[in-house]
Amino acid sequence: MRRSVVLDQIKAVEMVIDLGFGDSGKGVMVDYLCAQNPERSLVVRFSGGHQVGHTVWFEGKRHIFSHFGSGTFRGVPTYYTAQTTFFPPGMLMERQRLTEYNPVLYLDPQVMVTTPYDIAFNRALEQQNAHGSCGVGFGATVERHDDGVPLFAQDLQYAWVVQQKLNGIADYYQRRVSALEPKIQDAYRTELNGYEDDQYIDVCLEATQWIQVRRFDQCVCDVDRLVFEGSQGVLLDQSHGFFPHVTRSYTTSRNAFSFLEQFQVQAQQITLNYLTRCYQTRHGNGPMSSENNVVLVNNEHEANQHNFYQGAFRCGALDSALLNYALDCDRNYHPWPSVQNRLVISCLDQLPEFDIGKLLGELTVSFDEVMGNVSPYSESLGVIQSPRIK
Amino acid sequence: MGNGHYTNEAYIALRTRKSYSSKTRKQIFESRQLDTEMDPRRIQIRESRDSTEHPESLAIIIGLDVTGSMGFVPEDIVKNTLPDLMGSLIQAGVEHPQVLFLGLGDFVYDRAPLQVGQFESSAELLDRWLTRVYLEQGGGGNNGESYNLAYLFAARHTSIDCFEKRQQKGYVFTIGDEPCLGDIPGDVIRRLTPEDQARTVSTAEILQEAQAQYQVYHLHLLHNQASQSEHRKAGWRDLLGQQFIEIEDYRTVAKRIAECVIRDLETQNRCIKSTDQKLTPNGEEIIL
Repeated sequence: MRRSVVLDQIKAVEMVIDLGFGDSGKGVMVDYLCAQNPERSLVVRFSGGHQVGHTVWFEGKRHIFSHFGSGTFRGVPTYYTAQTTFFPPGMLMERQRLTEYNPVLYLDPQVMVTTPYDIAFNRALEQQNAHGSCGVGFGATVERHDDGVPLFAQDLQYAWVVQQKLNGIADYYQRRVSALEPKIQDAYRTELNGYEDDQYIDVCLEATQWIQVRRFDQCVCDVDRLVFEGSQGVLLDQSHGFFPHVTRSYTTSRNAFSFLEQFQVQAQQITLNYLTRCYQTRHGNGPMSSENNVVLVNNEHEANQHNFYQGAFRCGALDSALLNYALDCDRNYHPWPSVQNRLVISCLDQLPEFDIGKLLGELTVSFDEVMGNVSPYSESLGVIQSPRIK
Repeated sequence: MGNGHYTNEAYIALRTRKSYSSKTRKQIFESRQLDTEMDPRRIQIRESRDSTEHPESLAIIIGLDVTGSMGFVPEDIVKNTLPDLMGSLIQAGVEHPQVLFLGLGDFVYDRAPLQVGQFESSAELLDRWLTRVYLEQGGGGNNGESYNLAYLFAARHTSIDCFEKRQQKGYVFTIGDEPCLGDIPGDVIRRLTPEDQARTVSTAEILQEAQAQYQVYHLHLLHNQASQSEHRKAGWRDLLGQQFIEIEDYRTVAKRIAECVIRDLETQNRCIKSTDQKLTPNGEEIIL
């Protein structure tokens, strides 16, 4: 088989992995990496889906990316692998904010598509769990695909096919809901009140005009650099996080490496960018190994992130043992010894007493490079010079 | 990390057939943006001035929640209710109203959290701003909107003759169905206004700042079950007391605004018209 141009050209691979519970600045790091060579880069989303919110500031504007990669401001296209989810109407809504950047989206044919049924089911359950959160159907979508009731990106252009699949999905949830208590059944019905399939199908057809559905080895774009944009954090990974506070996704570099193997990408250089804030942080419920023992300054732009979807924004001192645990977990997936390791520490402006040298002494991985950031902008990301770095 | 804003907005749009009645679906999902003339970042000061035609101008600011958490209501208010506002005010006896329209969003999601018109003395000119305002379709549930941006703008970016020349306070009316966010972070102020040195202010602080020159009211719409819940109203009463007003039928907002203004002018015992008649607090005419 003749291999596509793109695969043989790839020289460098950057992977952006969050070592904690998310919120470590993946968007800013991806934006920074893309800015180095925007014409020759491609962002790859390989875990999570449209539920992520990666914040990037650009020329005084802020955008929270969820259906588009964080390289969008730099004109870098995004590729979604088969392990991700996608909600076409949400993409169109988000695209309105980004039209001037003309964002290009490639979707693997088997990207998992979210429907209003998934969101309704998700929310009906949430009401019972009283998390006060507003789900977007990510977990429900993945579970439905695991249960053998898929809707794929490649289906979207065929209205009749989508309709048949929606019928099956409606039945699937009807069965699931009828096994639950009446209150949830009511909530589910209420959620779908006023919704009709043909509206969704219309919007899906509209969405197909803005996406290119194709296998990675059939993408013809002239790139030599892949920037893998991770989601959430290693401590929320479905196999390494702390059940039940986990996401239905592999948030380590696992999917990124299997993707490189699947398409036999022979990059000369693979760099793992491990991200952490200089303190622990977590949105909403779930365990933290330390909490409320740091005093942050200069974080007013976050003080108001009363995140309705996930609850309170919690902070605690950084725990090197937990970072080592996350690094151990991620090292399960590196078949190549030639991997470069970079540590990226964000929000250093918010905790002036933070001691980088002390942290590096406590970590079990020796990093080739340590970078830090003192603002929410990629312009202030830079390499930290320290005698403690081997 | 997680963020469901666009998904939520799209999901609500899909379930609200009403929002499709006057527009094709494509229009709802088409690209719209903030009109540059209404962009607060470009506005240092909006002025309400006396003129020979309007020697005793009265500054009235109307801030409408256009996030779409109210479904089709903002559109209806903009298209069908506010155009009558000037008429209602004049009919009620406010002789020289100058109305400035604000579209209020939610700075957390910053599509167009604040849109600013100009002080206008005629229905036609006001209408120009109303038709320009960018209305978000869909929208959805987060736990508050940025009504406090109206206080910010009134306090720091307006200059009004009624107060500066005659110590007659102007009026600020915000209209919506959600609680108000607790503060305005400094970076939001720096992002939305020409100010580049601003610190975070609490809603109570910025309200007090606005009240130096304005009487401030909030009209809370009870158009659906969610808006009737106590937590949506909580906070408003503490903030505004008597000047928190619940509205059963959103189509009456123009009338209610006019009533509030007249009643307040009355309590100040001022002549409303330069004719020889007054109204008692009960609305009876007193012929002098």
